[in-house]
Amino acid sequence: MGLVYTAFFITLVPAVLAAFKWRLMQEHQRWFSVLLWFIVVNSFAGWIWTLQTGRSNTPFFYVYILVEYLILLQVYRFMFSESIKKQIWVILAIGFSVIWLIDVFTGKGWWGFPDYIHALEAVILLVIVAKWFLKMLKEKTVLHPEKTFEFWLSAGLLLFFSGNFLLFAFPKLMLTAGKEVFEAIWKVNAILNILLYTIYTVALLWVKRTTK
Amino acid sequence: MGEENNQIVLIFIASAAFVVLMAILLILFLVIYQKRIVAQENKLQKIENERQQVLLKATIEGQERERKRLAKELHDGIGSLLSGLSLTLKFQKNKQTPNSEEAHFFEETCRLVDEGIEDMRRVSHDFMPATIEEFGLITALQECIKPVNNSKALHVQMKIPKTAFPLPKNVALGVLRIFQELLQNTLKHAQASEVVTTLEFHPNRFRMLYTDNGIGMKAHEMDSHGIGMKSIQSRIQAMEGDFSLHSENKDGFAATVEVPINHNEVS
Repeated sequence: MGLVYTAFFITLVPAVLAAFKWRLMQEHQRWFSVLLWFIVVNSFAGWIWTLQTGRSNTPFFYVYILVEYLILLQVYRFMFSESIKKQIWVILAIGFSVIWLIDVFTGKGWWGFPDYIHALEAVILLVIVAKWFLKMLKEKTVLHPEKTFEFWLSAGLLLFFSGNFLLFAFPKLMLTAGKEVFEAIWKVNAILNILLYTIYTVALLWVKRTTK
Repeated sequence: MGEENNQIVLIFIASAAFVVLMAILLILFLVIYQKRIVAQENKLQKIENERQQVLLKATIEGQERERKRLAKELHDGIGSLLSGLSLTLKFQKNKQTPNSEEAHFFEETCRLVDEGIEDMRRVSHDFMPATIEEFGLITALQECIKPVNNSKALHVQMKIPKTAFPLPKNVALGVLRIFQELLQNTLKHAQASEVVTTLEFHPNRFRMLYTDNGIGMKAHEMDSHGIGMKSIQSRIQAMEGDFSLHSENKDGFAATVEVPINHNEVS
């Protein structure tokens, strides 16, 4: 369980760092910080809920997916500035929220594993991340992309969502094969979580005061 | 765990690891590719800047050559013609009965021609001050401020160090033109009573600090849209120097010109 706990507590590292860097941040970085703080609160609330009630914390997972998706959309909206029309972002936000509502209230409900909705989130965010990398290549302005917040954020999301995609897309494999298989595969998710939050921390380390 | 479950876990882990590895390789490729194309872009930009620099230098040199030619044409051509005309008119005037209508006519005509000669000399001198070629920057600057100080409209003070040395011709001419431009701005817009110019001669660079005590410039007037400012910036760029302005409303105006000196160009 050490790996799973590490994955759980590592969320605190970028969240604390974000608080220290808040004054240096631009608008999209501040939105990202809000996401990190939400993740910490949501994870701990879900953990306490499970400890107190002995029930699954999937409702917290559902809320987490929606909030994570919407805030990341907002972050990328700022990163793309004017190059993607506002309407596209609105459609992406409302469309996903409607599917999320349908999944929660008419599909599996709060207590089912949010597989499809998470897979959909992964696909949309992977497309956005790929588009951002293409934008970076097209603009030809950043000589050291590895020294920017935006690069590490996109790299982290690309690694996490591509690595986890099988887990989101084929959950039956994991859920029907028994507890041991579930735990073994969940460790992969934990490793990817640790990787993601480590990369988020690196991204925040590159937050610098912007000169006007 | 059963054999089948082991296989499921193994396949899952292997697939996830493969995908992550591919993502890492993709990210590495993006970083390397981005560095390459940006470096190439910067190199092209540098070449383009150098080309622009050469073009700018050539344009300014061409302008100065043309000014010199015009100054010579004015001085030697029209100037000689007007001097001859003035002499003839004076000769004719002396032949007239004093205080006659004709004598007054010739006297007035002589005065107008002399005024024309003086104006032509001034224009010719502005086109190409002979002093800068013969005596260098400092004498040319002093000559430039003499009429302003004589007019009492403005007091121009020039602080020249004892360690001053001759500058390359292109730098001297560039600095003189910038000074003329700044002085014109002060005269036209600043409502100033005093200008102080300090010259600094360092081994490898020259610096001129120009200040006036006028009404200053608003931020939007300091941009590069004015022809005068554009001309200053072009000359600074051609000399590969630096130019900075500082101005607060009603708190005067200050400009700093800094240019590198290549001693091989001193002539």
